[in-house]
Amino acid sequence: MSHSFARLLGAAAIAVLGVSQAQASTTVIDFNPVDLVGFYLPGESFVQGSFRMTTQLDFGTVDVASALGAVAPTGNATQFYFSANSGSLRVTATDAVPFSLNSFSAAFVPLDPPSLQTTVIVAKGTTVGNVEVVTSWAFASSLSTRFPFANYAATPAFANLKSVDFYACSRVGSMICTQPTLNNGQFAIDNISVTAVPEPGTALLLALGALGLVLRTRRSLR
Amino acid sequence: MTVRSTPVSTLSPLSPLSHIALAVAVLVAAGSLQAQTTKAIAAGDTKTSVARQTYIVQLADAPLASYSGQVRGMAATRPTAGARLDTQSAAARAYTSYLDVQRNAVLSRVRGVKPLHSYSVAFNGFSAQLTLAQAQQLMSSPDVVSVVPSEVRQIETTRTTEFLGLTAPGGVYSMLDAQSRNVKGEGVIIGIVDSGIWPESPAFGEKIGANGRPVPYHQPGTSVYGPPPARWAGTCQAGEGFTAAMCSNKLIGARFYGADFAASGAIRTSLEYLSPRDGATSGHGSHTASTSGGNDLVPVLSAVNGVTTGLMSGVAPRARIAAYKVCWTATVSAQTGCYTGDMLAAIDAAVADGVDVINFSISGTQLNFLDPIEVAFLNASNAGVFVAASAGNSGPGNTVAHMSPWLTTVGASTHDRSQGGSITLGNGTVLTGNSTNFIGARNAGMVLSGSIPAVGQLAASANNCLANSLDAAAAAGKIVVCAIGTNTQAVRLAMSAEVARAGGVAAVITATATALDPHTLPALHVTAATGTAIRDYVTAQGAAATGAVSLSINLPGVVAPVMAGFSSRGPNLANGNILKPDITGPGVAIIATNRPGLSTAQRDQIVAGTLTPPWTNGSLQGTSMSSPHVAGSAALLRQMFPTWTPAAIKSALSTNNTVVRLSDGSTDTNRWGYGAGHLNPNGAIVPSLVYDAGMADYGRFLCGLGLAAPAGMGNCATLGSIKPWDLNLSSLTAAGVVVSRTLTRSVTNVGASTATFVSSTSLPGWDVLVTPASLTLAPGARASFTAKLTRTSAAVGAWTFGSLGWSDGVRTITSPLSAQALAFGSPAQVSDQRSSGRGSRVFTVESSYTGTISMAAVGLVPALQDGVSITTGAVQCFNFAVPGGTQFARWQLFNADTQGGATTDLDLEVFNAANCTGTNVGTAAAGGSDEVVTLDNPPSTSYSARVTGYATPAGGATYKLSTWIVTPGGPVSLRVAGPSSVYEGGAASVALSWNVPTGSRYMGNVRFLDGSSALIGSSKVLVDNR
Repeated sequence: MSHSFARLLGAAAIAVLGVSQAQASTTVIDFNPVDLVGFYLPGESFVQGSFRMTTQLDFGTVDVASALGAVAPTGNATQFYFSANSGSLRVTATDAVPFSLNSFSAAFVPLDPPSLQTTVIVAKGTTVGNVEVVTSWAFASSLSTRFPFANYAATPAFANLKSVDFYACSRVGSMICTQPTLNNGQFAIDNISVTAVPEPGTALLLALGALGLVLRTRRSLR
Repeated sequence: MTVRSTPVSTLSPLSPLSHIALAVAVLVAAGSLQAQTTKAIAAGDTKTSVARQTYIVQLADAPLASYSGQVRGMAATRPTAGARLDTQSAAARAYTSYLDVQRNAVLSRVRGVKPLHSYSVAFNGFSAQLTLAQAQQLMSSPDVVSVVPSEVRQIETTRTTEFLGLTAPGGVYSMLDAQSRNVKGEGVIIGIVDSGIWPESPAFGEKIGANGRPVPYHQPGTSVYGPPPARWAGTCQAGEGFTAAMCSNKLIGARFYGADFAASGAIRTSLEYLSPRDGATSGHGSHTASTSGGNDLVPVLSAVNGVTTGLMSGVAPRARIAAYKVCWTATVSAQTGCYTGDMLAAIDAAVADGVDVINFSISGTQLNFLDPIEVAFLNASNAGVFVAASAGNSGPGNTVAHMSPWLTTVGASTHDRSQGGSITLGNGTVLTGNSTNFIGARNAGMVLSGSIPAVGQLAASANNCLANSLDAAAAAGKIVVCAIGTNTQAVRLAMSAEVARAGGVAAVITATATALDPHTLPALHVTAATGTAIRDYVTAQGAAATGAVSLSINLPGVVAPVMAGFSSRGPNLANGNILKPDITGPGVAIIATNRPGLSTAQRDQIVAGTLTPPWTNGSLQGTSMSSPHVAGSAALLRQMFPTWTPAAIKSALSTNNTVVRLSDGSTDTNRWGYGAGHLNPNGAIVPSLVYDAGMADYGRFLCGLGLAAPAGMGNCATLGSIKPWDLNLSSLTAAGVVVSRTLTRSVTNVGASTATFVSSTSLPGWDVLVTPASLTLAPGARASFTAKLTRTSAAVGAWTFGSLGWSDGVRTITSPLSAQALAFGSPAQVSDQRSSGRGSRVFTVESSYTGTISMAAVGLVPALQDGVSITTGAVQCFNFAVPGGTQFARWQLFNADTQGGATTDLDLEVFNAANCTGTNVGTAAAGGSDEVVTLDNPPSTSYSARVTGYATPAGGATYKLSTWIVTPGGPVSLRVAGPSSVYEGGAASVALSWNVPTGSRYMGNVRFLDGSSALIGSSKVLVDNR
């Protein structure tokens, strides 16, 4: 038995065990793989772990803070995602396993010179049942052009999701998303904590699929 | 009338290239489109480099002037508002000891090095002769901020006129006299950092004689000065031809600093003095000292007949003067000047001694806010010392020096006196011309020079008053009318000299409209029409013709002030949002104390103590002469408002100005000559609103530029940062505005009563909105306002000049307001430095329209590097071919690529033909080896780059010349992404990404196109992943 076969078999066994317990696995999308560095045009995507991140409406970048120059957010020494101008970032699972959003960290990134508009960070989840869950949070404030990252906890409603979009919206008093941001909808985001929670049926199918893969691999090794 | 500006090439700030023996070693191009060099043939090695040279070493702790108590157990030494630094306080002594220990620890790392000077007051560090290895060793120490070579700088005089032996009318400084009758600089100490002092002038004596006029120290009289202010901690340093007895309660201090000069290998001329005595041929230091703070009622002497023909006065005639000699005259003229190490020592001493004002009529940096001299002045300002500096004599080009916001930079303009003269003919006709006579010619006979040739001379020669052409018997006692031949100053001076030789009493020179020649007898330049009238009169009257030549007078209709051609102009080359020059003052034909011309034997007698020398006065011009007018005015304000900061004094001096004119009499609207306008101390002394600023403001300004604030001023994380246009200067300047920009200021009511100030603005082509539009302020209260500039019809790219005023109904405080519009704003260059090959960079652009935008990238192109070795004095040439369509080409030298780093000084020139022939199309000749020449959209042809070894270590220095030729068509490894739309007046982010091999500096270019595909802007890209 080759080592690779043993690993595959082991993985399949774990997956099968997970079926009975509906095991949840938590992933933190940290954007740190070096090969993610660069920019992404609207529609382009990249994958970390079992999650796909798709840039929407405007471009985004993955890099360290210094790449943003004078408006770079503070409090983050590693790579993160920057959503430029009026863009948004969509997170989906590559394996179509429903997931819940636990938390994320984000920072406002101003234009230079800054707009006078105030914005908030918005997460919009879409459940497998096509129900939209939307929440907004205020950005941490700053006296300079560099804003600090802050951590945001999602509400329990962000569960059983097939996608979640992050974008910035205008805020006038208690009115959210009532004005165009005119390129002032910029933000940085990092450490998106998501937990994939397979439904029992889905998990079983997945496990069977894994087992099938194991057997097929074994045959090919012969 | 305009004033002739004299070529100033030998007196401008030293150009490192100007005195190198250039012997070109041509390198042969490889003949391909890719520029390639083969072999460097080092040639032109004109001198052997010394193994050691002087370096200025700046250490990490704050100097006393700025120290605010950061070191545990050490109390702050920075003086409070209105106080001067007390170096004898317990805190100052303790902290000085601490700095001494720190400095000695650094020095111990370079064994055997003895500092030339140690600095602790306005600058923390030392200067020393170091080897290259030692300099590098120190540079790598964490306690060391910088190690830079000492430079030689020039005194800023354009010495076109020297009226030795001539006299001046009274009232040359009458405007300032009127001011000084109220406030004369009482109790204020002006420090003059210059070429020394000539103590025999009554301008510097404490006594008055029987006639009530001041007398020099060595003559009997009654003292009219009490002891120096109690804080005074200076001294009178004796030396060659200078004793403590020459100081007094007027000239309260005198020191000299020449260790750096001597260490450079320069030798003093036989007319110099190793002492505070002024050794400059022009008497520069005595002139600036007497202009700023010399006694009033000082006679202006005529050496021709010894009579007093006028009186002169410093701007602050009751101020005390302290002279700090740093400028030396060397046997080799290129070595004559003022050395950084010596100047720092003098500034250090002046602040420690307790001066209120420093006058610095010496050239300086045009680019570097952290130049050691600028840093020393920042620390001096933190300790409450006002600094006036000369803008430079390299005008009318954009060459303004001393561009830092914490000092007051002064341009030079004409004054309305002594510009013209007249001749009154025997028939009563009065005809005018140009003249700077300080004596006139009484009614005398007149004769045409062409009618009185000497025996054996041609009438034509006599007509032009050529040397020895006139018959002395016929010319004696006459006013001689000469016709101009070759119209040069030398010829005109020779003409009047010939009239003098022949015994004439005055010369009328027809027909030349030039002004301000230093004739040795009364001379009048007249136009052709006036000349014809005079000649007709003399011809008609024959032997009966008579006339009288006036003193130089303020002719009716004289246009003044007019900017002098030589005065260096703005905009600020280091940052366009800081207005420079700040102000202009009289700097043409300024009469003040001068040292007399002496023989070497007389000089030796002075040194031996057997001769008490005479003194004299003379006329000099330059921004050196205008700066002390501002220094003197600041002394008047200091007396009136002892607690004001230097920034408040500067604000008052530059918000109450008078207009500057063009020679045709119209208003000169170009603020690059004069900044706020003409110096007007009468206006400045009336307290109203001031724009104040201090240490933290300057720190935030530097942080906003990406620079570190000097030690003791806080770090950028705690200080924060501001945009350069938001520094609280009384000038409001906005460079590169797309659609609109908001500038923030605050004003303080320094008047005695609550007042409501209403704003008014004027800026053609712009809408200016001041919020709030009016301010009601109690005495001492401070309030902020914003001025939002929105472009309406101003031309794109051009600067527009206007003003912003605050009126309390009685008078208006007027700020210069300047703005430059751009249609699209993108950074000139986007830079990224990282060790990996993959990267991204986000930057912002500003748009003046709403619509779509597209971007196109070219590059990245790795630097082509030519690595060779060069010695001092050698030049090396590299050839390049630039293909058509090239978006830009750049040639660059880096300290990092040069052996010795910043301690080696290389210079770079680019020519538009091979082998360093053709026209010079770019020069970079800063200190050190960071040099760059960039050509945008260069025509396709051969180019060549010439590297000069200005100062290298012995045996030469290796270096690499980096070249980028960025042309479309090559492989594109640079990607660019931008917003789908841009909005009028809004910013947007643009991103670059790339993935290239590591180990190079790459360049690329991004062009921005609007919805109709018109080019609207571009940004260069530099990726350094070495």
